[in-house]
Amino acid sequence: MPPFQSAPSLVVLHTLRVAGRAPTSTLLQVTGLPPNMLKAELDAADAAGTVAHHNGLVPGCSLTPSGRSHHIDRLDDERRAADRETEILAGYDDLVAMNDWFKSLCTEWQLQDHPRSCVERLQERHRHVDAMARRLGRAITRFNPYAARFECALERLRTGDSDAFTTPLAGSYHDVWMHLHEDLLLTLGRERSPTDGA
Amino acid sequence: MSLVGITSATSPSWNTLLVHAGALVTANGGLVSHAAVTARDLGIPAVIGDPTACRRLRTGNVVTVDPVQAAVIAVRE
Repeated sequence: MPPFQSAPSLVVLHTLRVAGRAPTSTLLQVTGLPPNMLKAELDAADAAGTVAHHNGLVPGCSLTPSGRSHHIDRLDDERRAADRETEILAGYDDLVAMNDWFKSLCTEWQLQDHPRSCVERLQERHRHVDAMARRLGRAITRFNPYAARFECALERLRTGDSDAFTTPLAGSYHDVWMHLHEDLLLTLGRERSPTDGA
Repeated sequence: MSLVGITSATSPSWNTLLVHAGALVTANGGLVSHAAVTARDLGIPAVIGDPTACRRLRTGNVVTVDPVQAAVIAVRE
C-alpha cells in the first residue's frame, strides 16, 4: 500500500501543535515543505484565523484556540482516511521500547560531561531509530522528515557539535525524539500516560 | 524572582516556554525523564515527580523550588 499523502495544510497545523510556538525557520526544517508552499499555507491559516504570529520574548507562529480545535478535526479526518493505525501503533511501540534507554543515555551524556562513548552508543542504536522513522514515513507521508532530522542531529554529534544531543530547541536528537513521541500520541489520539514516561 | 513552570509532564511545546523559566516542577517522571533532561540542559532547578504539585499550586502563587529537598513550597498564595 503506498504511503498516505498528508495534506500540506494539516502538516502545518500539526507541526505547530507538536512544536508549540515556532519561527518560520523551524517550520521549514520540521515540515519539510518547500518555502513557497509553507508561506502559502501559513497565509491561508492566518486568513482563516487558525494561526497567530507573535513577536516579543518567544517569537514565531502558534495555533489559535480555534486553530487547535480545527487541527483536532483535521487529524481525526486523516486518521479515518489513512487507516494506518497498525503501522503507527507499531512505530509507537518501537519508540516506547527504546524510550528508557534513550533517556538514560541522555542523562549519562549530561552528568558525565559529554563522553564520546555516548555518541558511539547512540550511533549503534541509530539504525533502529532510522528504521522506525522510515516505516512511519511509509505509512503517512508527514512522518517522512523525522529520519533526516535524526540523521542530521547524529551527524552534528559526529562532527563535534555537543548541542545536538540534548539541548532544547536546537534540533537536537532529544528534540526530535520528543517531537516524534508527541506526534505519535496525537496521531493515535492518545493522552500521555505513566507508561509513556515523562 | 522568575517564572516557574508547573505541569503534569513536559512536551515539546512546553520546552518553548521553559527556556524562559527559572525553575520547573512536574507531577510525573523521575531523575531520568525528558523533563529532567531538559531542565538539566537549561541549567534550571527542577523538582520532577511531585504528584501533588498541580493540585496544591495555582497560577500566581509565589513558590520556592528546592531541588535538593525535592520540595515546592508556596510562600504566598
